[in-house]
Amino acid sequence: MTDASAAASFVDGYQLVIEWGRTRRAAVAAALAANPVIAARTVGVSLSKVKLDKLELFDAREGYGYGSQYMSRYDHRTPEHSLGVGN
Amino acid sequence: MNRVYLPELPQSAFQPRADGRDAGSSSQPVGPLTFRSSAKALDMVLDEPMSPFAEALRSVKIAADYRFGVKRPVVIGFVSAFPNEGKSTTAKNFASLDARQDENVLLMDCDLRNLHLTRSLTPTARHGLLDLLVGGEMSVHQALHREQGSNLAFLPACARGRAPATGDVLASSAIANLLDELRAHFSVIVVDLAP
Repeated sequence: MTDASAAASFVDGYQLVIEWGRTRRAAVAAALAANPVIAARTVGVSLSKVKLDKLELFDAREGYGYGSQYMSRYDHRTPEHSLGVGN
Repeated sequence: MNRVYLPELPQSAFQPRADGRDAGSSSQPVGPLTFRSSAKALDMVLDEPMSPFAEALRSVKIAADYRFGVKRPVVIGFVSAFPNEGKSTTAKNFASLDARQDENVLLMDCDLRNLHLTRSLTPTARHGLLDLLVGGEMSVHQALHREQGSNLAFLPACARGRAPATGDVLASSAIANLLDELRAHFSVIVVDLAP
């Protein structure tokens, strides 16, 4: 993240992108510890390449908006997926 | 700290488009320069606005809006700890989402170690960020490309084949001065940074 730290003179906030299920927690923590200006100015973390079916195995419901299982409630073409209604 | 889960995109979304319109094919030597993404993954929020990926990216934008409020211009840097974590795809989609909501958005390829956005959006670019930094007669607008069908502006890192530079470019007073100039033209500046 050396280049990104160097950009601190003109960057107002950083968005951190981390590959879900691959990049280790400790590696991200070490990178942020080595680049305190990024840690201080990070405004959001995006976990990328998430496999939604596997995500549900974890307690990770917060903050990923309308995932596939919620969208089905709005899709009247697939009534068999409308949770709890008509079943 | 806001945390958003971005669903994995199918491999097909990263393949070159099948409709025969290559990225950069309509760039003209005269008149405004334009671009179009080479792969659908870079346009997910535009092509599939109801997809889980687009919905998740909206959460990223809402978090940024919450943090910065009405402050404009604002410069947002996208960074990751390692290469190939999905940073450039996220940055381009974030910029497109902002551009669609009437912001005047500039996307800058400042990942000088891997020019992914420059290769994918403007493979035939003749000028870029590095040319603006060396000084001379060139104006910013000669290096900017506009996306076909949207208002998004893109500044490539450099022309094809140029030797990539390192962090000292991003720490230079030249780039700080350039950003001062760009802030006068754009309300949101999205910067893709090297890991």
